[in-house]
Amino acid sequence: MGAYLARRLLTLPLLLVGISIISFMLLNFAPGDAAEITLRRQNGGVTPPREAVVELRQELGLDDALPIRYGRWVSSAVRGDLGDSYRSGSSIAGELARRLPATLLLASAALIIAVVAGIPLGVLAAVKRGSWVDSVCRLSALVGAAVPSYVLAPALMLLFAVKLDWLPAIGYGSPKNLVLPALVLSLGTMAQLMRLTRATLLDVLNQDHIRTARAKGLTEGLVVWRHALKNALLPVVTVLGTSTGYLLGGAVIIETIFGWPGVGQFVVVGISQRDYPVVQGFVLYMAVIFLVVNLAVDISYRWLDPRLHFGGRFN
Amino acid sequence: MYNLTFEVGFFFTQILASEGFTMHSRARFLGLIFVTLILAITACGGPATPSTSGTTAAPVQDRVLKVAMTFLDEPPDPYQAGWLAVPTGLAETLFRLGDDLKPEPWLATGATRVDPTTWEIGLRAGVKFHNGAVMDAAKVKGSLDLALLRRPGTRVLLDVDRVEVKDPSTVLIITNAPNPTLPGLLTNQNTSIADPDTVPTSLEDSAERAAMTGPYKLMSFNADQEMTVEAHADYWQGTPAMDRVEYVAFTQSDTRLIALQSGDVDISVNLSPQGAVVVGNDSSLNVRTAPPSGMLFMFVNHESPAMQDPLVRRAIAIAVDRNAMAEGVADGNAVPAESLFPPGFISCQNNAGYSYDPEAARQLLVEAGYQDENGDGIVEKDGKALELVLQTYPEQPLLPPMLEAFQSMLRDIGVGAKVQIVEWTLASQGGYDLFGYSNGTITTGDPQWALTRQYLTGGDENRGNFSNSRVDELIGQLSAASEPAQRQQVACDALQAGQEEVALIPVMFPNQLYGISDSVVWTSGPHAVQLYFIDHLIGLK
Repeated sequence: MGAYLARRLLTLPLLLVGISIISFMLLNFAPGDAAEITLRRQNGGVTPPREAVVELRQELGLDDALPIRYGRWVSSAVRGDLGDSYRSGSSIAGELARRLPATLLLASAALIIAVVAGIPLGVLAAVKRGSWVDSVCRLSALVGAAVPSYVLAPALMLLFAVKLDWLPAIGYGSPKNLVLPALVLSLGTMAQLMRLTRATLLDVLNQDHIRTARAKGLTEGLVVWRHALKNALLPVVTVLGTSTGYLLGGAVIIETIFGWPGVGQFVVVGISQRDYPVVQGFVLYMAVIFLVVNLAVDISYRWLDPRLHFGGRFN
Repeated sequence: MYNLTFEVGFFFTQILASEGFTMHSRARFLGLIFVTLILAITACGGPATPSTSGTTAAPVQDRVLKVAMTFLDEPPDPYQAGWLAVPTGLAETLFRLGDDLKPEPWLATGATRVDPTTWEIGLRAGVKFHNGAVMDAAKVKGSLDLALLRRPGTRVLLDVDRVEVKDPSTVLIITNAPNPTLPGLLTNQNTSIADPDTVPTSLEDSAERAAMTGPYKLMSFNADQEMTVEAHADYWQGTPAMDRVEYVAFTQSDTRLIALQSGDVDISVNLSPQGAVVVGNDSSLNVRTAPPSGMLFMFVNHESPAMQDPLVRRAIAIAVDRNAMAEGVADGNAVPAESLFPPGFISCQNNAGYSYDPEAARQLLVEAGYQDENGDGIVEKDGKALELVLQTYPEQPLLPPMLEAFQSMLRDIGVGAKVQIVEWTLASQGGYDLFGYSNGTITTGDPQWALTRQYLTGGDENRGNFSNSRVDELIGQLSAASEPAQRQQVACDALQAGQEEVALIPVMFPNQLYGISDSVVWTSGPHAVQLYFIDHLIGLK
């Protein structure tokens, strides 16, 4: 376990360098001129004079060779400086840090809703397999996974904010503001958890030890909740891990629709304005999140089931 | 704190290492940790404190106007982000465009051209900055010097050699070359006037906290979240109608619409034509329409082989049913465009537009040597079908449907076309025959600005590389002309010459749409130029 952990930790920097090189190159080949876009925006939509574009390109170092620009970026990034936004001139690391609480709040709330609703519904669907309850659950999961959030979000806003007037459509800072974005954000993960819980639980319920438990006269509730569910939850941990990664990356669409001031909204504007340092910083941030989450998931496997082995050797 | 964390960590380690800690116990324990972490994160993720908030909470009885904007992603720096500082009532410029889209004095009282390169600008008396300082010639010179120093685009735009103080209420602006349109250029939002003594000395620091002259002054700004301004009690045109104006930003027009419908905001800017229909059907809401100032058009790629023949260009220009575009694509919220400028901006007797005439368009194609020889509905010449590549970008939501309609209209005259949605800066890089684009043509209030940028060889906005010696010569004459009647005649001639060559293909001028609740009193607006949005008069009943 120790050796495995050390090996994983040692590969993290290499992976980060690889990811940053690929993303830097991709951004470089993306069409569009960051200097021109920035100036047009500042000119109120009017295209800037060519001399001004040339001057800004030089000022931002956009005419330098790719390796020089990458080297400049990496040397700053290792010191925690992800550079400044082309648009606003603000520090990207500072902006990400400032927006992280909003994203954490939204992601956490969505994760809680997804877990609290998704797993019990999956259990219910498995236990009531073939019944109308199962059909309703599966249909709901299908809808939750299939309907895009950019359709669902305005629909729920219209229903709860405009028609029923129960919740605010927009805003940030009060628990009421959190409900709609967290609900919309949670639906995809909730559907995924429900379907996975149902499938794995059905698999476990057909195993020998469950038949033994039933033969011993245990109630169905005890069989399901104490003996079956625990064994069915291992794959759920994987889904929870990846979902956490996506959610912490900022629910880009949700944050944009609801005007939620998180990292997702920051990067959407950055992408649309060809604010390369913002996009590059975000890619690195996401890479770190996913690498850490994946490592945590792997370690949690080992804790949850000591029979699992790492690196080809039994521990 | 460190000791407590260490003790807790040690305690958990002991539990995990204990022999009695089975697989199921670990699962339960991990679950506990997960819930605890989530709760901790949730507790940590409280509302962010305003980064630049500097005042205490306002009294309950304050009159507050709430506005949904499209962007709040840059601090309202008067020199870098005048596009935000001016419309939100923070900053003002020396001149502004009037209702007739001509420059008129704002913080200035007037402008006199002393010699070809010198303008004398009189300054309004009684104007106070947000910090109480009085605006005079020294402050204005200092502010203009900073505007030129802090932004390359402003330096290039104004091409100013120096600014001098003549007396406390007059500045002299000396340009590097004769510039008959300087007052129009001083309507540019990034020439906003701020007290230079309140602008940070470091060029790296934003100047959004500088004292400006508008009816409102900045209270707080949180990027992409909110901006709050409060009344400037010493405002030179009178006390502002509201105590505060609160801005929120949503890039999605649907969200701005829903925020208005739910009563979360009083005004939503930039409604889509479809959103305007929804607002119009709501008895508690109103649509306010500003006259158009921007144009949707097609760049012609003058280096594309298919576009070399002027007969083909003209055929395409008159194949466009602009009324159908305005009614169908923009739901009636647009004015058909047959010239570079919206109606009323410039009056030209000789200016013939591109009237819709598909039959004449087909005839022009025949004259150009195109025939549908294989009966597939697309004309050919020398065995090569006339198939065009139409490109546009999605940020202006009317452009993609406009291109689809364009494609259909071209098909009617036997011209094939495929539509590609791309990045807008690709308009400068060829690879297309026609490129759908949106731009303002009335900025500065003088036709020379747009003619120079759109029609002149090598012009900043001449992305299709149009080049015509006659047009270039006329634009050169326009630069040298100073007498208004002469300028108008030369501008009309240049416009006509460019249109005859089909330098580009105008399509429509879309209206700007605002959704407002019926409690909003907005007698002064909306203005054709979106820059002039929040003034001291706009308020609530």
